[in-house]
Formats: sequence, structure tokens, C-alpha cells
Amino acid sequence: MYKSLEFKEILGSIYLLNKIKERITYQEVREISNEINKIDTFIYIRNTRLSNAFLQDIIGVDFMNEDIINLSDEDRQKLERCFIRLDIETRNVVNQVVRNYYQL
Amino acid sequence: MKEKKFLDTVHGYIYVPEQYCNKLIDTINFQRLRRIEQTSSRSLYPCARHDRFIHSIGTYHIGRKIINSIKNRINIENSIENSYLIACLLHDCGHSPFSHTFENLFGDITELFKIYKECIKSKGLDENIDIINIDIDKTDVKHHEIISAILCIAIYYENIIELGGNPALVARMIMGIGYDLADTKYTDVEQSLKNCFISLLHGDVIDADKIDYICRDKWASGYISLSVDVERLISSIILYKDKGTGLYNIGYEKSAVNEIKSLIESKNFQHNKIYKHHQVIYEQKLLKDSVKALTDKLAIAPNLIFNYKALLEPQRINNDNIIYMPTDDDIISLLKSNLHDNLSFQEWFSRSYNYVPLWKSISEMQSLLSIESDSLFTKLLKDGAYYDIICKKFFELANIKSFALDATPTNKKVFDNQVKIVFPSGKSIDFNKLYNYKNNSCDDITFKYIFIDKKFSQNKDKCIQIIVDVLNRKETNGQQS
Repeated sequence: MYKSLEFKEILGSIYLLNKIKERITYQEVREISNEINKIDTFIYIRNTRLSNAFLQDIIGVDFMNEDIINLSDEDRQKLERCFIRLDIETRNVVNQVVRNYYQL
Repeated sequence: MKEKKFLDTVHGYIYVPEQYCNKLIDTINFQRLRRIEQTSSRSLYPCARHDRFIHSIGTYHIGRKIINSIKNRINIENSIENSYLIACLLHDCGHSPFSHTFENLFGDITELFKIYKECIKSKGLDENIDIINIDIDKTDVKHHEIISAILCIAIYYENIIELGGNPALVARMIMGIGYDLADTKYTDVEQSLKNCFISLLHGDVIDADKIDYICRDKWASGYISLSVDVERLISSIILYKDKGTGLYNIGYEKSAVNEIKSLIESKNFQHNKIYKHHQVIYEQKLLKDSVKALTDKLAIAPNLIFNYKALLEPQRINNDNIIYMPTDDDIISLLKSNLHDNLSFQEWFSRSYNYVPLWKSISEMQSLLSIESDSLFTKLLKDGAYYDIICKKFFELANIKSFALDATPTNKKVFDNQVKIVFPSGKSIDFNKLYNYKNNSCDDITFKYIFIDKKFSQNKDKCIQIIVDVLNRKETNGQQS
């Protein structure tokens, strides 16, 4: 949906901008999502138990309870694909926030 | 017990106790739902004018059938029964205007939940002590559900008690927050039974809410898809005690397997064919852009318009506007008064769209690209980055404005242990072992509609040629092929 995303898309942005990222914590992504909403309140970031279950299905990690460490290339590409599906306006905002957050 | 009759075109006559009508339905918060559309697909299906009011009554009707079916096999405490029926009726009472489009504008979900916790504290509801410590971000609760729960405590508290319900349990059912069975303060068996009813309104795969809206949306819209034998599905619901733990679980008799499959596939159809239809997607964009332009013009934060407090008392938006019991009409009125010269709003209101899709389905995209080569279609699906390049090239090479919006099909996944089929012998099997809904065959593709400026809609051949050149990588350094 237009201007609507989940944590898996944010992860996709992180990996697109920094392919060698070794560890990502749930708290980091939560903070990034808060920053995204400060820039554009109309972006709906859906973070639920079910969306976490779908993410776990993709990458095999229960992200709400464990960090993502050294994700395989194949799984990174899946997340990047999720991110690329977003509309360009939303992607630009997410990329901007991710760059600022990690000082890229 | 005196009852009132509602004639519903989906379920036939719906009987609601007169007391429920007096204390819940004939209230301003509930009647507000008459003016909130159920779906965002009205642009596609002009007859889909059904609202959250009749959906709530329909959900109550389904809930009542579920209770009657379960009571044939086990006894249910009156408090649980009444709470469940009340929750079915009130589950959408805090819903946002325009379906789910602007739900997030009500604010941070954690902050909303804090307000709910303050409400229950103010009523001295200490039985919900576990709720105080819940990380709401790790549940499936949506904004409108928390607001409905707030209304249950702030507005309907005394009424719910008079109707024999438990307001705290009603709120839990609406939000789908089960009791933590590991917490030894609770009697596990009793709480597991309550958890079953919580799941029968707010479930992952099957619940009263879904059963009603799938049937209702299909009827109102008029589209043809699989039908669900609701009576068969509901009559198959079993609450059984697990032999190991002694806790209640929900199961379904084997006779319902096809109906469960139909329900899942109907949901997939709705999701992929209706909500991902190019017209619905484009209209959602126009509406969101219009409301954003509205808040920019009024120089206010969106949550002054989408404000849960407006469901309790009038709230001032700015010097000229007050909002109270927000409905779709209120948002449209604000848009008309303030944005009559705004392009997005004009486009949305007039339905005279300035952009048209280059293709209207995956099949059409395939047929357009396959004229050149079969591999191009696959190439575009496999690498979503091409859509951006294509839009850029449209403008560089032909001055055609365009943008792409995602419509990748996604099928509902059913995870292990979400649905159990129970046999007369007492043995149970996971539904996934019978029908595998775990895999989404569209995970590795990206399908987007490319919307082009309507002025160039006669130049589709040129657009397709540009796409073919991009995919064939014939263009380099700005040279055209």
C-alpha cells in the first residue's frame, strides 16, 4: 500500500545501504521507524507479532527477541526486494533516515 | 427476553436483545459507524456502500452463532458469553474514518495504549495487572482496536456491566490480548477458555470479524469468488481440552476443512484482486496526498483531525473548525472547504484521473513485453529496481511523467499451530499438513503498476519500446537505440 511498510522494508534499506552490516538489533529499527514518522507522519509503519512472524519466515530470525547477525546474501536480497517494492517517496524517506542514523 | 430484528441482506434476520440496542447500539459512538465506509474499494465497486455499522451487527450475529454452537458441547459462563457478544458488537466502535487508510494518524500505538491503561486504572480494574507490563508493539493490536477498548471503559463501562459483561474482558477481546497462561495468578483453565474467545473475535486465520466482512464485502461489491458455507464452518468449531496441559484450545471438525480453505482463498482473492487493483491503489494515494495537503494548508498535525478525544467530546482543530465523532463526511467536508483548488483532491473527488496504468495486471504486462521477448517479462519481475529506471527514462527520453506503485501478489500464510483439525477420536492435525499455506510463491518477484500521464496514454507503444530498451540495456550514456 502507498506509504505503508513494515520492519522488513526498513531492514531492506539498511542492507541496501550497508551490505556488510553484521548485527542489527530490534531497538535500532524501532528508533529508525520513530524517526521516519517524525519526517512523514503519513507513512504507516506496521509492526506487529504477525509481521514479525512473516519476517521470521523470510530470514529465520525471531527479530522481536533476537538480533539479526551475519545474514546470508540470499536473505539480504529478499529483504532488499521487500524494500524496493515501496513507492519511491517512502523509499527516499527511509533511506534518508537510515543514512543519518548510521552516519553513512 | 425482548429482541429487535435487523433485516440484513447478507445474513437474513439478525436478532439483537433490546437491552443491547438501548445500551450499546442506540448510542452516538455506535451510530457514528453508519457514516464510516467498510472498505476502500468503493471506487471499483460503486455498490460497496456498506458501512461499519452493519458490519458490527453482522459480527455480533456471527458471534452469537459461534456461542450457540459451542454451548451444544460445553458450558460457558454467562460473563464470558455476554462479554464476547458485546465485544463482537463494539469491536469497531473506535474505528477511523475511511477504513484503515488513516488509522496510524491517531498517533503512536504505545501512547494510545498508555491512555487505555490509565482508563482501566481509573476504574480500579486490578485484574488486568498483566496488561500493565505488555509491550504493545509485540502484539497484533491496531490503533482502532485500542480506541474501541478505551471507549468500552470510558463510555460503555456501566452499560457493559448491566448487560452482564466484564468491561476489561471485552476490551481484551477487541484488542486480541490473551491472558498469559504462564502467570500463576490466574487459573489456567479458565483463562485458556477466555483466550479461545479472544481468538474467536481477534484470530489469526478465522474469527467472527473475518467471517462477516468476507461475506459482506463480496455481497456488497458483487464480485464473484469462492463462497464460504458459514453455517458449516461455525458448526464445526470445537473448544477442546488438550490432553497434556488440560487447557482449552480451538479446533475445527474435519467437515470444515473445505470451508477453511475457501475462507483463506477468499481473503487472498480480496487482497490481491481488490485491494491491489490499480484503481484502488491509485485512489488511496490520491486520498492520502489530499489529506496531507489539508494538514499542510491548515498548518496542523494530522492527529488534531484524527483525534481519539473527538470520540468523547468536541475537539478544536483550529480557529475555524471543530471535530466531533469523526466520520468520512467530516474529512470530505474539510477537504472541500479547504482544498477545492488542490489537484490531488480534485482528481480524487471527480474520479477524473490524471494518470493511467500502462498495464492493469501481471498477465497484461507479460503480453506487452513478450511480443519482444519472453525473457524481458521475467527480467522485470525479478529485479524491481528496473521500475525506477523505467520511470526516469520515460521522462528523460519522452517527457512522460510517471510513477510506480507496488501490487505484488501476496497470499495469506497459515503458520503451524494456527488452525487445528480435530477428529472424532480426539486426535488433531495441523491444517498446514493438509493444505500448505506456508509458502508464498510470489516472494521473489516484484510487480508494480506504472502510472503514466494520461496525456500520453495514446503513446503506449513508445512507452513499451523504452521499457524494452531499458531491459535490453540498449541505452548507454543517454543515447537512444
